[in-house]
Amino acid sequence: MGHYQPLLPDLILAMGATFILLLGPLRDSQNLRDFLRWISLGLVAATAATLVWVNHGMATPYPLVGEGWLTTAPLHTAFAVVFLATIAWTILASTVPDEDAGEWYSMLLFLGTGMIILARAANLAAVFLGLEVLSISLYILIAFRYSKRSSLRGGIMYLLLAGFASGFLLFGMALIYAVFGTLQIAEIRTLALATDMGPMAKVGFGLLLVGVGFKLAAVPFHMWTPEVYESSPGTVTGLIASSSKGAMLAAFIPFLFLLETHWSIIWLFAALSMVGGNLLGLREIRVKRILAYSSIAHIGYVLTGYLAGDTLSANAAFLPSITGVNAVFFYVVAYAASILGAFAALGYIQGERDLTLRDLRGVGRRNPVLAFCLLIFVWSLAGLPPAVGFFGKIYLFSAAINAGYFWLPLIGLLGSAIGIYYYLRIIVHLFMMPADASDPKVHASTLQEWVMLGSAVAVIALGLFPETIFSFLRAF
Amino acid sequence: MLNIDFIVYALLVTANAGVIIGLSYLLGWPRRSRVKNEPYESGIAPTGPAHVRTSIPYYLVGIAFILFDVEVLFLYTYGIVMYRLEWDGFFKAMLFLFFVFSGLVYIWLRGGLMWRHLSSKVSAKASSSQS
Repeated sequence: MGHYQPLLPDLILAMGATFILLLGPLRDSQNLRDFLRWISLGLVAATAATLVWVNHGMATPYPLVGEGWLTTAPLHTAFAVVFLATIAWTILASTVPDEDAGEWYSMLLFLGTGMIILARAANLAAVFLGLEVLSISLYILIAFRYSKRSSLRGGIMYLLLAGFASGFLLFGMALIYAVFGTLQIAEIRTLALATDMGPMAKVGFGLLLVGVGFKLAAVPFHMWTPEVYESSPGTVTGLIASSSKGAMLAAFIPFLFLLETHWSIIWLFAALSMVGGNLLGLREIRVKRILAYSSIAHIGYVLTGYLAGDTLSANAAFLPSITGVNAVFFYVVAYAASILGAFAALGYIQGERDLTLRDLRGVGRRNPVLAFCLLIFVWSLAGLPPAVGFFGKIYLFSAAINAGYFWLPLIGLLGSAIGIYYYLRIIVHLFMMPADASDPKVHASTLQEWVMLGSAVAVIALGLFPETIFSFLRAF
Repeated sequence: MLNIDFIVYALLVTANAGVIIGLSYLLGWPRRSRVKNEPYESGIAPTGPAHVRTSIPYYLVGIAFILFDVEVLFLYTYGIVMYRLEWDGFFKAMLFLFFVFSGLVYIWLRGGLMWRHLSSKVSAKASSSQS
């Protein structure tokens, strides 16, 4: 039984999710939702604790557990804990009717299971397994308000496109396996670096990059983003943008040896995403779509950090102690803290059909707490000091400059400058425009307002003390 | 890798396809008739409309059946190597069966197997909304 111990966190979460799924229809009481909410929160906490307990003190790079499926590297454990935190945050910030509570919380927990498997995957099969568990939960969560036409459309759109992208990923994996004869990423790395890569392996890795690019919504695989973000519930949109992409980013770290051969593709992904995302957002008036385009741009920034790799360069001129991968970790945390809150806040504000900038007018007067929190989140997304997003960008770009890239950080800086325009537009409409005749409808419970406020305080606090995130990372 | 044979072959294939399509476009002319517009030309004549309504209970049971049918495939592969995997494999197979069985229990509890009341339940649930 000893070799089951490393799989304990995943087992706890998956089994807990199953039990909650069954508890939903079993218990028919009035306050089922609150009951299930606290149980799921406890399960996430237990999983995080087990994860830390199981992986503590294993500092060697990429050791394998669970028959070589998962890695216990500190960075990946830290990623998994962060994703569990986003799930816990969503459990607190979301509301569902009592009769759907079982499905809602159980799907959130399954989403968390997929994320922690994907984030710690050391094996191509584990990558695929984690990705599928994550995606299937997302299909259901996106289409959760299935009585709405738009919600169903978004769910089916994501189902078809993500299934298609999984096909690319799987075919790429098959080709890689055909060439190297192993599924272990560490072994593939050794073999790929030792010999000159043949055409079949190159095509395999290329197809793999297509699947990864789709999941990350990097240009040119970004088409699904606005529609899906618009039609899913606000808190779920936050999860798609933050931790579901973050899990893929974490899973991609063992593949960083691809920088030797495929760096130009990743460079193009990053540059196109930064330019495309920011330009597409300029003329949009639907708020969730604006943030969707901005999330494309943010993936561009993160990929910039990727290109810096996981080693410190000798002649670093600028913040030399931070590797590209550590900057990516910082940015995933910073971005998750900001975007989760932003999308959840937008979810509480009701629009006529799709939420437009016009619907935001008067929210500042009607519900100042929520509007203030939204201001801080958007401020952080724009990358303005003293919010945490500012330092995220500084670390990413300085890591890229240290690694010898010049044009990419420059494109990133110009892109952020363009992006500030649409972020500020949101703020202007929130506070500085006269309200329309009809009052904006804001539904937020006291608990949700407290969660929002806590999140906003965290965004500012992490911005004032950015070292906290790195010391969190070092604690593993 | 890219040798001259391949290029010539690719060009020939493209040219061949282009010539055939172009010739049939130039020489033939569109002629539509009732028989020609049938889905299977010179096949069995279709009867009845294609938009047949399937009842939702049937659809749900069908989906559930396919689901569990696919799960059986995993058990079949396990059955082949069952003795070689010993108790460790047995434990894992039971874990897998636990998750599959929970799915069945869930369908049962949600009323997915109730043939008669299913349609009314589904419509009642669909009318409720949430934020």
